[in-house]
Amino acid sequence: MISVMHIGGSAEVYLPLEGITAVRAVPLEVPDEVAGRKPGPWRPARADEMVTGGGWTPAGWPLHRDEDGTWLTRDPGTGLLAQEDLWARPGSDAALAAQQREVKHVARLKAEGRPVREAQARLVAAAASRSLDAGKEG
Amino acid sequence: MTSTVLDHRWSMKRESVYNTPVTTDRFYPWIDGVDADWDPRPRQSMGQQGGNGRRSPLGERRYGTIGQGALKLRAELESKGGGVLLDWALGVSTVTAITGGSQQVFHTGITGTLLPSATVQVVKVLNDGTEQVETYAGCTAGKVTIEQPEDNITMLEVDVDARSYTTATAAATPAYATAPVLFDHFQGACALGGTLTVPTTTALASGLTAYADFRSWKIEIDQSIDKDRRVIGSRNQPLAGTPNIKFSGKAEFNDTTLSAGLVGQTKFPWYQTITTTETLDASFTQLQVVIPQLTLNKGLPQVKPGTTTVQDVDADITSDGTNRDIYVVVRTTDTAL
Repeated sequence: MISVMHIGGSAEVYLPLEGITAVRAVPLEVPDEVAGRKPGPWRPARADEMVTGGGWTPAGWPLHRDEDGTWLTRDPGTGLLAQEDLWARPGSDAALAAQQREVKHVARLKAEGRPVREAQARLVAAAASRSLDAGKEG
Repeated sequence: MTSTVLDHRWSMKRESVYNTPVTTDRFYPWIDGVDADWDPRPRQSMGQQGGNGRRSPLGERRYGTIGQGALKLRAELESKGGGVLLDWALGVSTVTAITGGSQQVFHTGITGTLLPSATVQVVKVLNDGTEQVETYAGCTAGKVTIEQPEDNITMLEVDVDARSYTTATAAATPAYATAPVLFDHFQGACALGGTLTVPTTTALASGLTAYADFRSWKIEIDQSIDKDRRVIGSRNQPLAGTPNIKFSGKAEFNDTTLSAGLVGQTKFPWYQTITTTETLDASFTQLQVVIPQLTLNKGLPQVKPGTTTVQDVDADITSDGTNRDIYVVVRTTDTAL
């Protein structure tokens, strides 16, 4: 199992093929193959990866022509982590940024007396605790 | 994996660079009428080579060229998860945080001559339960239709030109926003005429006179894209032309506003607002479609004894010189597109 985190705009998403519900900014354990892997870096495409007119390599990887005309390709990743705008590993920069946004979002809801999801409330409490610990250490 | 015939699905994501594919990450339920087709644009040599009793062209002188995709994407408009689709379909968006979510404003006011492009993935389930994963890159929304059918869900339909195609890319893992609320006819309210205050980044449009006679309407935005830019060795990104925007619908003949407006060529501002029961901030999630200026083309009501008179509405949407031609505003619990 691998821990991933939903970092997108919707507060909660459902993965129908896995039967899993993910709450934004809350870590979630999923099977390795569901988590998958992030896209790799762009690199020059080999001759056997070139496809006339661009688009894809024969393996279905994206092809991109950079400013000096070099054809580049990259491993597009797999599973949830291939969707970089929506999923990240907890502890990554993207996940931490999403958690910080969520803390502000929940705090604003609470300050205005709006309903707050239980999972979000726990997240806020955890974040506050970590902040307190950081303060003591400092 | 074995799928059922309910597992057809499509997804999309806006591209940073035209025809550079990206992994799709927004998924939409399949609706009858969604269609994805790829034309390999085969060419058969004109040269005829006879011999050996042949009477038909030699197959070895036939080959594929740079193909072209044509997709029709349809989605019911919902309170969550629609931002990326609307952003790509209409071209421009702003997202502004409000308590509990965001207000997302979409319009067609692109700068320059190019519309945004997207990668679209269509997963078609074969009869044996396996899946054919079709991925299209360089997808341009050439025509967009927003429709409020009578007594039904508000729909978005996008006609797409695609630049490249593969079946080798793996299917993206689908995820859908939980518990979205569908925008529906029964929660709508139209307004016509008056002094329009266009939507801001945080407030809906306002100022018009309530007009309860519309039964249905449809707005068709044809971006007049040039999808035949075939340069040697490639096909360039379609250019957006002068958009042709049409409004049509049906309205009950309960007053003379429309018929007088037709004859007088009144320039009407119009909007429809749908307000759900899903809580957002101190209000509810909402969808608003705003036309700053429409002018009727034809259609005085045709009456028939003993029946309710419903008149056809046919109008051109033109620029009022100040505002965008159309705005779509979504107030949503989503915090981002």
